[in-house]
Amino acid sequence: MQVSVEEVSTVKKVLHIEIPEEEVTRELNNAYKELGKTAKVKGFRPGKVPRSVLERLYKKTVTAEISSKLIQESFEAAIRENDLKYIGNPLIDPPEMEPEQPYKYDVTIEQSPEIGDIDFKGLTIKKNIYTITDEAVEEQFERLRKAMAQQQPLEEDRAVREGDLALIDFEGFKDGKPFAETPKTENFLMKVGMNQILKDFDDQLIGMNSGETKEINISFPESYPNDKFANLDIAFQVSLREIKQEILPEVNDELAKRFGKQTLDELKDEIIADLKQGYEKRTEQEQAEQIFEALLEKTDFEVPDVMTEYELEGIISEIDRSLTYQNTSMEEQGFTKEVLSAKYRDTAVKQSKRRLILNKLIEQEKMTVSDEEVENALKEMAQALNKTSAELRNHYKQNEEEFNYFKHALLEKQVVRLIIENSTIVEEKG
Amino acid sequence: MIQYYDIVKRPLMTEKTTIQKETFNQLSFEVDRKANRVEIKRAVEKIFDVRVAAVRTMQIKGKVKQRGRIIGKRKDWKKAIVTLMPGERIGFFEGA
Repeated sequence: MQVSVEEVSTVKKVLHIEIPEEEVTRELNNAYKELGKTAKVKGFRPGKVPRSVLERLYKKTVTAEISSKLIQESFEAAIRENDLKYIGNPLIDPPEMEPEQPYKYDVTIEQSPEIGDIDFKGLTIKKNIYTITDEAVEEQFERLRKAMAQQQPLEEDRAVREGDLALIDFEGFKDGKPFAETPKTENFLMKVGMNQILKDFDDQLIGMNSGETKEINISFPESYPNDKFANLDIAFQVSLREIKQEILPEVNDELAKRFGKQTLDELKDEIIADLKQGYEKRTEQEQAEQIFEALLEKTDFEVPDVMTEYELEGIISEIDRSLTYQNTSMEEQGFTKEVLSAKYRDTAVKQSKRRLILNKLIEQEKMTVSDEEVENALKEMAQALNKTSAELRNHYKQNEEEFNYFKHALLEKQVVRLIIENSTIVEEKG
Repeated sequence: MIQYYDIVKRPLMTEKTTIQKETFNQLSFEVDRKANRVEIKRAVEKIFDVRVAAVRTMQIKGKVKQRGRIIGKRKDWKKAIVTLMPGERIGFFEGA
């Protein structure tokens, strides 16, 4: 067996493997011999079938079987002999095997990049200090009020104003004919001024009285997000059924009770705690971001395609999941896998690099997680998931792989902590 | 063409015909019962594009098969052993 290794890049190698003719012939002979003992062909007693007949009947299967067997054996041997390590699945495109000829094929393998020791000490990291301002708290209250807003019919008799809720029936016509994309819709509740359809529409709605019917002409601009409407003139027959008002609840203990709290102060405390947690997470993320930016600059290596693909797949399935959550799908949003792959490739490369750097650092610093730390992390997670840590432990006991992943995540956290400890931190007001 | 295939019905491939092929360059076919040697020779030459040296024919009696109390008989047929000119080959019989 002859092997020559061609380096395409530091992480990608092509092995040219040639299996000598004798070996091919020997393997084929053995295969037909074995097959001949058991093959049942009409007109021949078992074991008496001549090779030519066997070849005619079983050539494809035998060749495929032998070639895959030879490839597997020779590939493993080649890897062993050249002392190579590879990740992912080797890419083999086996040519047809011809009898009485040496069998040649190419394998593409990808390797983890060799990363030199990373000097992670002495980085300068900006730490944004976020203070919880009254405005931020106020904003949260406002949000809560809106969430609890009630709709009430208008008491006085007046025309539509901005901020009102209008209950309307509408039907869109294009060139005087009903338009399929805007069928007759009844009891459509819209908040005037939110510009759900188009600003024009809302503007023309203002001033209408309850029970009034009006034709509203809209020309959709070219830049309209929905392609089906862009550049169209639609005439809407709109009749206003009712004007409603949004009543926001007052900020008092009453509001707090509706969120399951006793007093307003309690609610406020929780809001502050939430904000604090959010800020902490944000600082943490910002710091991590800076660390990687700095470390990426310090290192230089190529990322194997398999890793990038793996990350890409993760990103895409994440998108898919969030879209499903919003009751739509990739197809509906006009995304295809190809488009998304092209869009997020850079991100995926970055993520793989981040992962590789972290792994390298874990190795470099010989980090381990103690049982105690695992225990603590489990407890923390259990709390977040409303489960007991024993339940989680059982789950992980059954899923070795997931548990390893979990431990790895802890290690990564440790590394980040270590880097932060060894960096100069400049505090800044955010 | 159609009439040639009406004469030569199917090639026979058994242990015995394999030996005949290897030793005497003879091939066997099931042929139409009413076909004669001249017709068979012409048909084989046309279908396989080979030169035929000789044709021997024989009537084969169908086997009597019994299954329980029911006795049946397979159909009688005609076998032709075709000797090819030295050096001639038919791909089908060579495993190609």
